[in-house]
Amino acid sequence: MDIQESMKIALENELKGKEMYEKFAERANNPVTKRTFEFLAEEEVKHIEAIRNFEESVQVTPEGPTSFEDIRSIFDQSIEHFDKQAKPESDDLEAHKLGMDLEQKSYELYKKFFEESTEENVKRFFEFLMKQENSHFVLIQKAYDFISDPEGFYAETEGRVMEG
Amino acid sequence: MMLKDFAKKPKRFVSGGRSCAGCAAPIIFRTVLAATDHPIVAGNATGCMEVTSSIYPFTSWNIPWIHNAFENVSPTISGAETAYRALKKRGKMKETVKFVAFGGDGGTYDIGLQSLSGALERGHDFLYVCYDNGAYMNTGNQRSSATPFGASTTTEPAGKVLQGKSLFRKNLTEIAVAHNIPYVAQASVSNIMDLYNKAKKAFEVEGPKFMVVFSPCTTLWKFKPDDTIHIAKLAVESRFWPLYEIENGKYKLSYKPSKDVPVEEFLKTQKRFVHLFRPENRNLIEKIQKHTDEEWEKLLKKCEE
Amino acid sequence: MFMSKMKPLTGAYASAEAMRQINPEVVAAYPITPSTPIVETFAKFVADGKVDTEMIRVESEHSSMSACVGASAAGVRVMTATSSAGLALMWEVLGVASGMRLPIIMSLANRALSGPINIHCDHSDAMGARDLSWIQIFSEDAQEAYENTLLAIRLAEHPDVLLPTMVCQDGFITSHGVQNVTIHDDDVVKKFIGERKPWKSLLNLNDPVTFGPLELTDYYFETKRQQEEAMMHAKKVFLEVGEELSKITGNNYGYFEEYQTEDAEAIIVAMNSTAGTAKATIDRMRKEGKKVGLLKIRLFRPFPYEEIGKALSKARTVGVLDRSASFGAHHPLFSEIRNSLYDIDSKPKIQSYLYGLGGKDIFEKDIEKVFDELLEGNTGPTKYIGLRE
Repeated sequence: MDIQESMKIALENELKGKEMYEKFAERANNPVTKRTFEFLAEEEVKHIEAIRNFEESVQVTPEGPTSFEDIRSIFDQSIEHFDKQAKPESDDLEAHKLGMDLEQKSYELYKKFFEESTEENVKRFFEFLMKQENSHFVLIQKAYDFISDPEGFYAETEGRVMEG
Repeated sequence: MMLKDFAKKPKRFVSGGRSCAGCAAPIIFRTVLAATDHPIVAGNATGCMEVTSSIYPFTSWNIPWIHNAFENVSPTISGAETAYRALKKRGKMKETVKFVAFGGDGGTYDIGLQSLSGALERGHDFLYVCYDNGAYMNTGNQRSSATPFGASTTTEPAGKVLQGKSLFRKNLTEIAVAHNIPYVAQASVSNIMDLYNKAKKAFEVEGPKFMVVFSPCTTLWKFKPDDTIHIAKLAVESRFWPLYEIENGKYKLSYKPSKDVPVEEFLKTQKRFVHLFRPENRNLIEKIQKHTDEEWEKLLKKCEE
Repeated sequence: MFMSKMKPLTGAYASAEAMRQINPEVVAAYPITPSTPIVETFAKFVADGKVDTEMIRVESEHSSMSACVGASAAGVRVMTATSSAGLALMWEVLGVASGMRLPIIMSLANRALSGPINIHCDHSDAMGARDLSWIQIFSEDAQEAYENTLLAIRLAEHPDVLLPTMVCQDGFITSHGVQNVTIHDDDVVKKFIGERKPWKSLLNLNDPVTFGPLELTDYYFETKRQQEEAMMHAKKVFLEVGEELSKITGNNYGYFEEYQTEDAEAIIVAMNSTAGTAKATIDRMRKEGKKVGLLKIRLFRPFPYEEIGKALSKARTVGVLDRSASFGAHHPLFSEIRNSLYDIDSKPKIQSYLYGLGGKDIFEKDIEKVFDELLEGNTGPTKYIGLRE
């Protein structure tokens, strides 16, 4: 597949993602889901820009966070106003699942492009996108785990003492 | 023997102990202890069940029971069993008494392996039951050699660079078989009648017997307490935890799943594997599936299936 | 009346003879030099049907003490033997044995602890375990090793005591040295030993007991206090049992033996075989008119502070011979003796001697030098006997 073709597919993928995330953010019933998808929608916009820039032969891999740790603050901020007593809406849970699914597919897509491309800077570009999608997946997953079981989350982070 | 008949059996291990809601181990203990009508003398290695069943001045044990230390339930029960044989020889005891040693995977696969091997080699007439929850759970989920590949534990956690346990688990069942003892079995808390029948068979055989039983841990595998049996079932159905027995060296498969359940179905139910589902780690799930398939094929060959 | 027989035996064989006469239901032991011959001799007794003991040939010392705990908890008589690293390996379980109040009897052939590895005699193994609530009895020779074992079983099983007991003898020096030992009549000894009547047992099926529960902060201290109480009782019971035993053997079993101490100006305190060497030296020096004497300790745990303080009070200078070191502190026996003298108004001067580590021999001439130094009355920091500086 030539570079132009892969960029076209990537762009379509990102546009689809942006639309989906904006929809999820709007319909979100709890602050964690809302913040997570707002952030991700913004990230997709950045991806769209990056792809367009690359196409216009700027050929530069943008800078940005490539691991969950780098975007951890989004998660930490989002959970502050979550009502632990509230049960998560099934729509929200479904949104997270669909989000993870999309990130997984995006990762696989970019991995394929990464493996197929022969040019150094193209490889680097797709590798960057791979890492970002992976970190996005982790963000959605962590948010999903949190809203499904906030007590479990705090139990884990605050630790416990065993007898033994 | 129907499942409901268990309720009529004398309560050798009573309720009220401090184990977590949803813990599989008490179910395993009660099932094993019900599998013989003869009196039982039991022992435990230090671990979840020892601690939760014996906080002084309370005890869950309605039978004679001893706890010594972490790695030595095998020789401790060896000593009790030998004392019993000595008294019988001297005409001071006539009853038939059965001896059971219980240990978690911590006290059995690792620190207790040497003394277990010694007791099996010496031919003591006792049953060793290992409840395998895949880590040192009593002290908060530290890794043992029974911890499955990819599981996150506190001493080998998933992080940025490492993704949980980097090695596949030790096969202690095969180590027990290598001792040429009359009976070895692998069972699961999800298949209760199979577990019961295996324990019953073990009690009816003379010599050293070894069983390892799959025992999900709701607290530290991180799943809802209601799901214990369901998760154990998934382990069996996905061939992650095969059920089989070896009688005098002959392998016999206890259960052959009819459907192809990918091991991923089992892994995704517990948070200790959650990091494997990141896109960058998917290959590890494939690795686990490949390993599960290979081990299953090996086992089928041994069972002549 | 008595059918005692005098035979040339090693200390190890003599200990095995005691085991034979006791005929415990279970022996669980693992070989380690120099205690191995105790177990080997006994194994031959088993093979020849002289006893009907069940032997558990365990795969490590940790397992041997663990099996002893299991068997003793099952209400039967249990014995074992070990040395040095073997005792060190079972250290964890020693505390379980005493915490569970099990009257397990151990023959300890004293040998140096590792590193470096050394198979010869010193007392570091027993000293390393002195806080674990085991009764510790030391033996000058094979005769004492044999008789102390018979005493030990009655002491350990006494309802006011119920503590495991180790009978020590010098590795190689006593365990492998041949001496004339009087083995007392089997039936007389059997009558003296009697039967064990366990308070609770795993095999008492009508009265199920939980051995070894978890005790949290609300009960652990109280349980340990009971152990301390048992040790205090052991001091009294030791003398009672000793008196009963002396009616059979004709020997005496006090906390210690006083050898020519009545008018002694210089007294040496020592344990195990060195006491014998000291006695020979004293005999010679007395002929020269030197007022020297020996206090040989038999009971080390529980330690008889009061009685020793009194016994040493009239001497001018006391020299304590330690065959093990407590690095960074006063050596074990010296420390105990110093404690014994604390409440004495006009206490003697006291000198610490370290000797014999790793089996380095101590000769009569060394002991004579010690006495000469003590008679001179100069005391100071620890002195080393036989050390090549």
